Amino acid sequence: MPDILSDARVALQNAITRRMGAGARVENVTQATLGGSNRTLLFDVVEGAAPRRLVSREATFVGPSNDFMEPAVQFRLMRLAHGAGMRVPEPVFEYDDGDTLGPGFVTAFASGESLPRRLLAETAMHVGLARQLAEQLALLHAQPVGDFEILADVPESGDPVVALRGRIDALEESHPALEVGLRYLELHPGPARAKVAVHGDFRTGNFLVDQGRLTAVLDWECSHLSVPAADIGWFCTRSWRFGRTAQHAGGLVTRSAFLADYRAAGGEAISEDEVRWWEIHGLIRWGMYNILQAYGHLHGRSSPAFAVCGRNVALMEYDLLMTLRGEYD
Amino acid sequence: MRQYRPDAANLVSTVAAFLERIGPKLESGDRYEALVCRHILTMVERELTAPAEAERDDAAFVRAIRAGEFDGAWERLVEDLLAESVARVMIVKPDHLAEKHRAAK
Repeated sequence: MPDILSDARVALQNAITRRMGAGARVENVTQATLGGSNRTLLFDVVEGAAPRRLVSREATFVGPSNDFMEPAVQFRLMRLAHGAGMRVPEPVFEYDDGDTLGPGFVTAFASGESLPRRLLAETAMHVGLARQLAEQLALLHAQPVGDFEILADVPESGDPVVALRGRIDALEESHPALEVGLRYLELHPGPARAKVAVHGDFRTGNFLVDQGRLTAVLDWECSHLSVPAADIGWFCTRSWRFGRTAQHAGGLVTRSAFLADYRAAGGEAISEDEVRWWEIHGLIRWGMYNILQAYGHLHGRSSPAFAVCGRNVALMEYDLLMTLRGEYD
Repeated sequence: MRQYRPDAANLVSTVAAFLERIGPKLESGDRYEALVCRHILTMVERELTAPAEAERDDAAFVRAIRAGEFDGAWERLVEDLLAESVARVMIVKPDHLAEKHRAAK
């Protein structure tokens, strides 16, 4: 698609010139292949000696069935996280009406490995990486919740069972096994706690690591207000252990080791059982996302990978039922 | 028991349409998707050779679970659904099953 890319280059140059002046040149524009409802462009800005690598992210799929967060909210969130000292790509600017790109924004480029299989193969760095991840979560959860008022309207900021059930119901396919999971969560509520801002998609695959150093926490579009264990439970959900099932925390370390790291980093004391509640929630939620992809496949966004997602719901249901029976932990 | 959407005919036609489109210009970047397609076809093959199972009104089943009608028979409910889930995963991705369920067939 050379024409599309050259059009994007002109549009990027225009956006950079507007903000950084005529001396800043856009070079080496490439399009990342990943991302279903987003377009991601990588490019250099050259001004003087050292080029600066930047990333442009645009929502290309805007509509009522798009559940993902508005880019403007995502940008503000990344600013808050960056301002708090978290390892997130530095937000540079947002597109506006004067640009032919967007809605979306530009951040600094962060380098590192994100592929779970590669990260999990490097076992020597797992303990150190888990500690850095726990520090990031503790830092995020320590931020004043009042700063994150923009997240109050996200459905997940309300009751987590009601929100998840609502999303599944909207997808028009009955899943008794997932309903059993939801019923279990209803009958065994966790402890009441004050809500904080949570990342919402904190898992192996959504952060970058460079030689054992965590360089960036990515994918902030599922953020909402919840209890701290929500992020930890999603991180520990069996699907994100990528086969290293005894290392509950993202395939890196055990659940209890991660909770100790989180506590040592200033996080609240959280029990394993509270995290397990969220792991069950996580299996249902991952099932829901796969139903959603199949729904998209059947409603105008057809692709082999999305078709498989519909069938893969069975895998999450199996893990869920084995967990409810106490055979999986 | 039924499998979830899409149905087998839809899967096969989706793959066929995809292969028709990319066949003449296949590059290394399409390798992943080609693998997925192969996975789909093996799944469909398992499904077409599996015995048919009885249909059930899953919407009513979900409503009953939600209303708490199975709260007093919880272990049986989970056990029955697990047996059903094993049969489903056997078609979708047998490697995903725990050892004891793989050995069952």
